[in-house]
Amino acid sequence: MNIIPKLNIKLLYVIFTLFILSMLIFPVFSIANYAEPLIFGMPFIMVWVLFWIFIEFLGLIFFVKIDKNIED
Amino acid sequence: MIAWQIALLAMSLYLIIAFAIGLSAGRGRSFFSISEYAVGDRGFGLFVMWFLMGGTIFSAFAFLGGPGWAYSKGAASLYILAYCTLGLLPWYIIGPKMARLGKKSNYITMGDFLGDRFKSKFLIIIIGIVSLLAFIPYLTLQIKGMGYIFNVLTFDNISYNFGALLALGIVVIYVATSGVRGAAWSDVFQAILMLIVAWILGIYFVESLHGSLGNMFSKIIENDPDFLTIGNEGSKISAARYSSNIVVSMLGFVMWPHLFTKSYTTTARRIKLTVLVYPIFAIFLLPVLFIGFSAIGVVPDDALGRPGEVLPYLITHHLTESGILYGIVGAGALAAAMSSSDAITHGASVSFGRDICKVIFPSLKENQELWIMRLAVIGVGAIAYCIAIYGSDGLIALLLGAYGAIVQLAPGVYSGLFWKKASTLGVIIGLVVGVMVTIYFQYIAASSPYDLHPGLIGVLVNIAIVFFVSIAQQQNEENYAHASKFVDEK
Repeated sequence: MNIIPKLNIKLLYVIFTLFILSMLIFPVFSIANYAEPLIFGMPFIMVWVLFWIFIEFLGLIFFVKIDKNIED
Repeated sequence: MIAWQIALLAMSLYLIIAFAIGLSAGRGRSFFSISEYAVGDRGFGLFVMWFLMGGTIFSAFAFLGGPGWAYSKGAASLYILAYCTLGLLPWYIIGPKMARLGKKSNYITMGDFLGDRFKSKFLIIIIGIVSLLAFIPYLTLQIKGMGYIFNVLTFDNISYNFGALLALGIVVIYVATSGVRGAAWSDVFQAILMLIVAWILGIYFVESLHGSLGNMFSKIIENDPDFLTIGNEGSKISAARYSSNIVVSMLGFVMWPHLFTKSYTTTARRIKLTVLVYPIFAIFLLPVLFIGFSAIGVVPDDALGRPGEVLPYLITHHLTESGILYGIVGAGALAAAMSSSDAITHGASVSFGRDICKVIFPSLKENQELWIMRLAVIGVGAIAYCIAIYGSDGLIALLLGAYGAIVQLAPGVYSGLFWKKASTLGVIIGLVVGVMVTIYFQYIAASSPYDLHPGLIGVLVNIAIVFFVSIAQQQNEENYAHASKFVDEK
C-alpha cells in the first residue's frame, strides 16, 4: 500500500467526498427523485440516500485502511 | 401511582444518572487547568469521541424538529440524513491537522488558531462574538425543547418554566465543574439512551398506526404523489434550496466552534476513526423520520400549533397509557436536548473566556481565565433561559439568523490551512461582508436568487473577497514563512 503517496490519498479523499456529495444533490439527485418503487417498504428517493450513505461508509473504511499516516 | 407520576419518576431517575455521570467525570482531574477544562488535556479515547460527536447531531432539533419536518415537508426531511453523513467528512482532512497544530501551539479555540495564523486580535474577537451569537439561540431552542417535554409528559403538572430550569440547571452544574469531560461522558449515556428510544418509537408508531412501512408510504403516495419528491409542483422544497442546504451544512458543520475545538481533545488517528463511524449515526436517525411520516393522515393538521409538536402529540394520543413508557420517551428526548446543551454551554464559555476576555485583558492569569469560563457557563445558561421564557418567537427567529453566520468562518479556516497567500485583510473583510450578505438575504430581501440558501450566497461572496484581496496584496517573506508553518505542516 506504500505505492500511493500521501498527497494522492488526500486528493483521492477530496474527490471521493465531492462524488458522494454530487450523488445527493441536484442535478444528479434528479435521477432518484421518485417516490416509487417502494424498496423494503421505503420510497426510492429515501433508499437512494441510504445507499450512498452505505457506500460512503465502505469508502471511508478503504481510506482508513490505505492511510499509512493513520498511526500516531 | 398515576401515569404522570411514574413518568416524572422515570425522567427524574434519568436526570440523576446524567448528573452523577457528568459530575464524576471530572473527579481526579485537575480543577485548575484550562487545558483540562477546555480540551480534556487532549487525551479523549475513541469510544468517548464517537458518542461525543454522535450525540451532538441528536439535538432537540433531531428529536422534535426531525419528525416535524417529515410530517410537514416530506422528502425535504431527507436533507437531515444527507447533512449528518456529509457534515463530518471535511474533518478527516482538517481535524488531524488541527490536532497537531493545537498540541504544538496550545490552542483551545478556533480563535486561537486563526488569530495566530493571521496575526490579528481583531479577528479573534469577531470570531468570539459570532460564536456567542450563534450559540445562544441554539441553546434557547434546546431549553424550549426540555421545558416542553417536561410539561407535556407530566400532563401539565410540572410547569414549562420549572422543567426547563431543572434540566438546564443540571447541565450548567456539571459543565461548570467537570468541563468538557463532564459533557463528554454524559453524552455517552445520553446518546445510547436516545438511540434506543428513537428506534422503539419509530418501529412502534409505524407498526401500530399503519401495519408496515410499505403501507404507510403507499398511503402517503396515494394521497399526494409529489410529497415524497423534491422540486416538483406539490413538493415542499425547491431543488436549489434542498441542494444548497446540504452544501452549506457540509461546509459549516465542522465550523461550529464546539465541534471544531473537539479536534484539540484527541489524536489525529482517533479523529479519522470517528469520521469513519459517522455515516452509521446518520442511519440511526432514520426512525426519527419514520415517526414524522407515521403521523400523516393520523394527526389532523389543525391539531398542532407547530410541526415540531408532532412527536409529543403522537405520544400523548397514540401511545399506551403506560407511565413507564412516557417516562422512557421523556428521558430520551431530554437526553437529546441535554447532550447538545452541554456541548454548547461549554463551547460558549470557552469562547467567551479565551476569544473575548483574554484578548481584551491579556494579563489575565490562567486561574482567573478559568473562573471566567466557569462563571460564563452560568451566564450563558441564564441568558438563553430568559430568552426561552420571555423572548418572543420573532426575537428567536432573528437570533437564529446567526446560524448562517457560522458557515462564514469556513473560508478563513480553509485558506489559513491550505493557502499561503491568504491575507489577514482578505479573511476579515470576507467574514464581515459574508455575514452581512447572509443577513440581507435572510431578513431584508424578499427572496434569495434561485431560492438558494442565504448562507451559500454569503459564503460565495466571502470566498471571492478572500481570493481577490489576497491576490492583490503582496505578502512579504516573513508572512510567507509564517503561513508555511500552518500550510506545510505534516
